[in-house]
Amino acid sequence: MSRLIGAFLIAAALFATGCEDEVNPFIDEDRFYSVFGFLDTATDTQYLRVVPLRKEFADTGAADIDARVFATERETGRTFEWRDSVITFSDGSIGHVFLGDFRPVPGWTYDLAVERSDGVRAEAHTTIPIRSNVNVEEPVFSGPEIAFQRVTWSEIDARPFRVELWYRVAGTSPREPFRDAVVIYPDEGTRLGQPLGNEEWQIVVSLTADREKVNELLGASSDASPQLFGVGMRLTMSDEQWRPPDGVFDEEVLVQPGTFSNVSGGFGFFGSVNQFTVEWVLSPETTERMGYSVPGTR
Amino acid sequence: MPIFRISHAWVLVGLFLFTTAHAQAQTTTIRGFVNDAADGQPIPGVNVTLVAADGALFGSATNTDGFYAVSRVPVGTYTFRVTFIGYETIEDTVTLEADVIVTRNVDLAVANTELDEVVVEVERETAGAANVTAGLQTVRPADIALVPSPDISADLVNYLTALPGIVSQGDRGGQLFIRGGEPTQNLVLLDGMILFQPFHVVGFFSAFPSDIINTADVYAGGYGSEFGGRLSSVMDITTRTGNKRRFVGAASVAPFVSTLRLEGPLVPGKVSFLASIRESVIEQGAEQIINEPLPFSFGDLFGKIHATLGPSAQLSITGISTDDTGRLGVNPLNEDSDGITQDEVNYSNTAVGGRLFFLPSSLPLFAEITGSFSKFDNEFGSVGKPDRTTSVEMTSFAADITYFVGTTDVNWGLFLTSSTLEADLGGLFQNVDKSSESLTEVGAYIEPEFSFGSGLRVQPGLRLQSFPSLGESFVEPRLRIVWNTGMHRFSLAGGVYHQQVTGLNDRRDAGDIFTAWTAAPKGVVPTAQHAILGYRIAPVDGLAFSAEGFYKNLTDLLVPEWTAFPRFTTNLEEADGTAQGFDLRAEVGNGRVFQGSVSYAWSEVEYESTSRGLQILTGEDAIDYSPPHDRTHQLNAMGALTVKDFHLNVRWQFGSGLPFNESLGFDRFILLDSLVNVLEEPGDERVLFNRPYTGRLPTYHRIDVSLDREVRIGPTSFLTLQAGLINAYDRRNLFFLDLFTLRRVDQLPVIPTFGLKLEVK
Repeated sequence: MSRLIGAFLIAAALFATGCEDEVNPFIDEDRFYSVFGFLDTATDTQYLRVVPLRKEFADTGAADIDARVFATERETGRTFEWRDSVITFSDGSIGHVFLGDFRPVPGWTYDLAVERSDGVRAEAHTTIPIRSNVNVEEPVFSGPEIAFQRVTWSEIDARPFRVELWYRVAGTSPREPFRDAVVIYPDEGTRLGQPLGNEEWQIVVSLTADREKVNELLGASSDASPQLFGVGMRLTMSDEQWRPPDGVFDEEVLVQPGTFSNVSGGFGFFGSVNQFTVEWVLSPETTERMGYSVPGTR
Repeated sequence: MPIFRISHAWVLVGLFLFTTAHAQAQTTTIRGFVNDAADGQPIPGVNVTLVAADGALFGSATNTDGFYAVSRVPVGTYTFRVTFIGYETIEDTVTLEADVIVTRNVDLAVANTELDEVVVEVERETAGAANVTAGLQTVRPADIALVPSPDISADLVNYLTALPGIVSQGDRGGQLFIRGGEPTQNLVLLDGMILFQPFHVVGFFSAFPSDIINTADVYAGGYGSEFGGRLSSVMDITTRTGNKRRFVGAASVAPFVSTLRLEGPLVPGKVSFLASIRESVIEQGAEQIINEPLPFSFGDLFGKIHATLGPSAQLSITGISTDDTGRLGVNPLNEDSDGITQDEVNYSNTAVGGRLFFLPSSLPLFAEITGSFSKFDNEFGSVGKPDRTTSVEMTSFAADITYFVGTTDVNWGLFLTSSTLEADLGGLFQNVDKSSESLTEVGAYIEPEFSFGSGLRVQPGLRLQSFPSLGESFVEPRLRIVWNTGMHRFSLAGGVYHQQVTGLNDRRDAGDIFTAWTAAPKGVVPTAQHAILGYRIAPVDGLAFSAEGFYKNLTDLLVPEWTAFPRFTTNLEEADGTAQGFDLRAEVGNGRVFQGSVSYAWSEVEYESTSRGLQILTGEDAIDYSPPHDRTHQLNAMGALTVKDFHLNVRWQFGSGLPFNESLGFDRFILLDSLVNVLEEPGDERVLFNRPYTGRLPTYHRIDVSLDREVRIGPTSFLTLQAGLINAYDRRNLFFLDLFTLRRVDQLPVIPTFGLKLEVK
């Protein structure tokens, strides 16, 4: 019996030496960068964060990065190479933000490439959104001094990133004959608008609420009555790819790699925004009822 | 909860008891306890028979408390015989009169003073590695003694981890996964007291040293109506009573632990005590041997007083206290300059309880009244400044009655439990910051056991649990069927199980064994359905084979939320799952010279997540994955050889790799939900996980060997010397791999052990 046990021990030992005990925790894939950024028609300089994928958790924040970034304008074939800059962020971490010196053109498509020295690339593209038709309805009064106005944009299927109203006024400062009081609509409730169907997006301008804000922005007293020349709306709209799953930017969901990414050969997101604007003039009657002065009258 | 159904059930119970009581008018019952004459220990499995003059035979066997009852015996004169291998047979004549219940207690004397091995064989009649019946495996100290251990005094957990279907984390952590279940889904009872985490931080040890155990019934599923409140398994452990005749004891030293046990009579023949204390000596022992830090310490203290109150009543009071401290994992966010993690886990159990057995003089029943208080504390975090603490206090009362009606034993009972669950989780753990909950549970069960002459036993059961403060009630049907026919045994078990008090933990990190206990959210109570089918054959003495298959359907489990943020703890989400598999066992030998067993288990555990992130990633409505305790293949081989008073024990374990999370690497994540200025936004660290648990760790295997010999050094004094090798061929088994630092934490390397035990018997 002891021989049997001895043989068993030897067999077990032989078996053991033939067993692999190393483990590779990484899936080997040809993805090397994450990119985060967007093209903005409102600026001549574009910004793109490039994060090299690491195999160590500790981010050493290396000053060098083996990456070159290019954007190619499909319509013209022009290629812009972006400049690297090393940024120290508020949390002490260091990252690479590339700067592209060009202003994108609405409706055009830009191909982004992040290229390593050995030629492997992470790629993405974006088409700059173009302004759609807009319909500004007549103001509606629901009380003596409570007025709102519906502005409906066509071919918009998602909530804009930003909605600004400007009220062009005069008579508040001798040094600035004309001033724009810019009211930024908060990202709460339906202030940024809501869909109507048929890819129409409607924003309700609250003339009454904005009126109080205008005097505040102008630094005028509450009973001041500046002359109102016109009203304008600026909508900052993202490109068609910039739509989160379920229509919600839920960080806990979108952090999952691949749930919201248009980068091939990498992770992250590359998009674009454009500003759509429309201006209109309120009727003298509405202007006065809202507590403004009508230009040309006293 | 359909109240009318419950009412109907109890009406039926009442009618049943009334009619059966009436039906026994011309018959009677004989009952009592069978104890060892040498030390007063109850002896389970003793055959008690009554033989009438015409040869008619009536009989029963003692339970774990040594109690027997033979009921519905027609009046008359009988030969009363008590037999048990290794003991002198008792034979006597009894005359039974109508309506007079006879209580006869018996003390059995050992037949031969040199029958140690025979006793082993006897104890193995109802136990043994291949002796599994519908998920139930009974473990006795003799079984535990077969397993090599780093401690000269064996420990229950060492045997449990050798059973097929039980997956452990290895030699640290003290977590057991039984047939697909999680550690928090195991119900552990010690003399009826609930213990929440009785397994020590070093995986070779539990709060149950072998020499305090009478029996341990391990239900890997399909347990009866007597048990509830857990989804996966039950370990029902009963302890020995102290020696009622004389003072005995033992003391031992070994590289991991030192022990001391004392027992003896307080009132000779009537009241005894048993006390055991163990304290780890790793720093002075094992750490010096392997010359590497083993930052663990643990200890346990056990005490029991047992009193025979009279021929029809026994009382025992049991207390236990355990404490554990250890640094298990790797937390790169909390390391000192030497790269050593400072996160430490501490946990302790305290429990005290009493059990009263009594036999009412006028009723053919066995009654057990139990009351207990259990407390569990758990801390995790920086040394001296834990980030998270949790505490559970539970007070329980139960009455378990067995009513003997001819060949039918009607088991029924009532229970009441009051729990206080407190947690201070530092804000980011499982959706809970600070919480304090009080919970009351009341319930009842009934489980008649019908015995048919052909060896068929059918045990249908019904358990009702109600949590008035939560407005939750559950009705749980159960069924066990066992059919013994010749050398064959067929068995079947199944049932529905709920777990209202749930243990929350983050199973993604093997080094984090912190568990917070809380009440499951209303409407999301984890539920399981079990089904087990088994077969056993014992063609000749000393040879047995068994095969058993199981299926568990699991719903509303609470599992860690899937996230790519490198949090060390996270929120919870619901998941469903299944666990299925089978095991094959063979056992050979009779314990005299050689005893060996081989077992193989195959299992598959799958959880199904509906996490939105995973749905989007995969495009699937439900994502299946194997949780980190899904060990597909498991092989155990044990052998015990006795030659010239030397005992050689060998165990080899093999387990296929456990699942773990692979990643593509790390980056920083910036949520582009608006016009984010990437010049200013640093982003959050992110782990680039793919689907959950796609990787498999390397296989686990290890051989342990021990050799011991007992030497008589006095009339009743014995010295045992033990030498052994743990992980004899120095397999580099992985405990866990820290994905963030790529640092691996291995299980123990080869460790030579030497033990010395002095025992007065």
